[in-house]
Amino acid sequence: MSREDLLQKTILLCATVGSGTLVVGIFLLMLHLGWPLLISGQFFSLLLQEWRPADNLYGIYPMLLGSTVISLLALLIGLPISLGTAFATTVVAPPWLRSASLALIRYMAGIPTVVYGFVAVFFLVPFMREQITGGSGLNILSAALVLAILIAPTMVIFFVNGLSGVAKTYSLAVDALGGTPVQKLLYLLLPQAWPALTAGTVMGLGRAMGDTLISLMVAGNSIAVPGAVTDSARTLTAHIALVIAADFAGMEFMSIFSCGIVLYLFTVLFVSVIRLTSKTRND
Amino acid sequence: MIRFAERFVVFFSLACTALLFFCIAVVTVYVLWRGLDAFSISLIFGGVDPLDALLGRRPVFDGLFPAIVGTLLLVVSAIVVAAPVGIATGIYLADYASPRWRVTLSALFDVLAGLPSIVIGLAGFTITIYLHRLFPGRIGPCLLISALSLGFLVLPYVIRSTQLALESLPATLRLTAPALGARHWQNIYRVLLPASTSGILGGIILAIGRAAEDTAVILLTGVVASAGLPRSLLEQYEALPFFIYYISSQYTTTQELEMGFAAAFLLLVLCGSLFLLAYGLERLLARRFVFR
Amino acid sequence: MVWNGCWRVALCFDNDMASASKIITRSLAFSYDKKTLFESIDLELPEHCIAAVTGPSGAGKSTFLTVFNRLWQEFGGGNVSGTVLLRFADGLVDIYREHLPASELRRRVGMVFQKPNPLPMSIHKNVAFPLRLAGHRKRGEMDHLVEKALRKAHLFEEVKDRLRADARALSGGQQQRLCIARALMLEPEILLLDEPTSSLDARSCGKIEELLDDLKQSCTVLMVSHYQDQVRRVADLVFEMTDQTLIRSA
Repeated sequence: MSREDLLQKTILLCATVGSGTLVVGIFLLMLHLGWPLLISGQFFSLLLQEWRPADNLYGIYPMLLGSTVISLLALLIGLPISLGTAFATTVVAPPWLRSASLALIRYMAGIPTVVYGFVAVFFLVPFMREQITGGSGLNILSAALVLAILIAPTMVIFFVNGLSGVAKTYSLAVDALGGTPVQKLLYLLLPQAWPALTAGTVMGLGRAMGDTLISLMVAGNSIAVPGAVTDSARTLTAHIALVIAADFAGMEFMSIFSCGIVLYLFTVLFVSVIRLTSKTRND
Repeated sequence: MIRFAERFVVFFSLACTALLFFCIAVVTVYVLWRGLDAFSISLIFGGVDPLDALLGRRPVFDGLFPAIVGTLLLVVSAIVVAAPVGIATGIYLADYASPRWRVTLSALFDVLAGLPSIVIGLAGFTITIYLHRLFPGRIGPCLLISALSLGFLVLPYVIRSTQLALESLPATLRLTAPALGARHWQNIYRVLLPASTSGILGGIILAIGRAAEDTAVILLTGVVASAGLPRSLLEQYEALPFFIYYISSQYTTTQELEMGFAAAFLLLVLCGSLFLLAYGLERLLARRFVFR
Repeated sequence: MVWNGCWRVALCFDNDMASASKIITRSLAFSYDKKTLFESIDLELPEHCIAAVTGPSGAGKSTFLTVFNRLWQEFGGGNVSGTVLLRFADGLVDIYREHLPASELRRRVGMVFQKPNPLPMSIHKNVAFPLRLAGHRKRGEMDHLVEKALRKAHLFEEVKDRLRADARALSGGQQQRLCIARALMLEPEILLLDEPTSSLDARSCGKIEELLDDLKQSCTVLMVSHYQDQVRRVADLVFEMTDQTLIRSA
């Protein structure tokens, strides 16, 4: 590399190092603000305590549980639907439907989260209230249903890329042996594409857990520990939004940084899983 | 038995696809129907003459106009921040970084792409508090802070699309200019970047869509339900997604609800078409390399 | 040029024995990932000749060519040892020891690839591209130089009416001659050709072989080919790459 390119290289390097530093910086910032809790040894007890500010209890256990239950339930509903759609889009459906379906999936990925939430509030929640669960209709099940739809396009796109990324020569071999498209899918594509399937699933879980709006609008935001899927619940993300809106200082405020730290660590975990599974494919 | 399993897979796949697209149809049709029904010029400008409102001669109090302007300002300033930084970082990762650095940094930006937007909002909010302590009374939650946070949120979209577009260029194209005596930067600037334009543009369009729809970040960094047009970047502002969220929980009159549907309609059309456009560009790109 | 002054002195003992040689290598070796591709190659090529390298595919013939314009450095990885001396009009240059920027070297050593690689722009811009890279801006002069290069590559008559058309619309053989014209634009003293006809039909191939004979007037040509009959037709010197080294063929 010649000396004449040094200016350009320096500018590019600055942009890269700057953005990289910010990513780490966010974590350090939250760690710094949550530090008093960490060194007093309260961080881990916070994860197991309830949230009762009146009794000086600022635990985030209900939110941790809420986030986990809602996102896992959303995955449980969304995963089979996404897998089925991905199967249809890669092999099962007739060709004209495949490209139409790909375009629809992209459009779906573009629908704003807040629009999903809005429709859910005026469409799904009344239905839930009157026909299924009773009560307010704002509960874990409603939120999980909406989230399942919300995370579906992310997963479908990953699955479709994985399934259609299997080498053409293998695919031709199965065709030449007289295999049907479904047989090709079951005996060739699925076993070959499992890293992409894992990655897509984890991506979906990550999106469900990271979403703020749906749980804020549809899950009911109750701070009690949920006991059933028809109970109202609050997620870590919604908790951050709600507490900030109410208060700027003190223990309450400090405790939302523990929510932030937990969410950050979850993201790191998800990204590591995705990176590790896609690495095994390359070897 | 095996035959049955295979047939079941076919049935199951088609049923899932139908179910998913039914849900999308419900969301789309419901918003379009209620939104178009409510849509009118007065809903946007709230009785003020549109020309007066556009020229800023008279403020609009009960219309969507300030929220639309707020969202536009927000998106433009977020992209102005994210596009140059993201493209520069993408180029660095694709064409300058050593393999080890490339892996480390890509992992870091994957984390950024996966971070819940509320966490980025929280960081923006915290920084605002620090700034507020440094410059009391002058800096609070505002359009500038929101735009910077949103720019950071959409940064990985730009980085990744730039990096991917550059890395997927055919090796023959990559070597052409160096063999003719091009320096490293000349090759990037005159050959590689122009050849990756549609890929990079696709990433920027996705970033625009993401910046327009995000609610969690602005919720913590300066959006309010009623502010009118912002006069500077250091003021609070209104935005469409927040307006929709606010209406869903706080509406009192049917007129407000109608405005909520109209806002949802606008945002859906905007983001939906942006994502389809990005998809079209991606297809164009794929075809160009396959059939040449 | 600053970069060759001091080396001319250091190398003067070489000058007598290799006074007519354009390209000289001394125990040249190339390895990639600790695997040796070729080694102990001692080569001396006179000026104005066409030297051809043949050999089985995968033997490293293409990599051998890129040693002379250091293009292998763009692949990331690989290691050259030994000496490569090129005699330019202003002196003998050791291209791996002197601080010669790669771009400077590649402007004097042209290269044409196996598959024609026109850039996504017009015919005129493609041919003018190397000059623009080198910082030339005068438009009127440029048209003249483009025409000259296209004539040298026997292409001008075929494309003179559509110089502004997209270069990718040309036929394969025309594209390859365009690439040769582009490589000639900077008037290189050495031209590297990597199987320049293997992706073309017999007729286009014939046109390029004709052209090679003319090129000898202005350049020293080092080419890779695996067509024995082509090599016999055009080359003055023939080498074969076997057992990780280069042997002179009869």
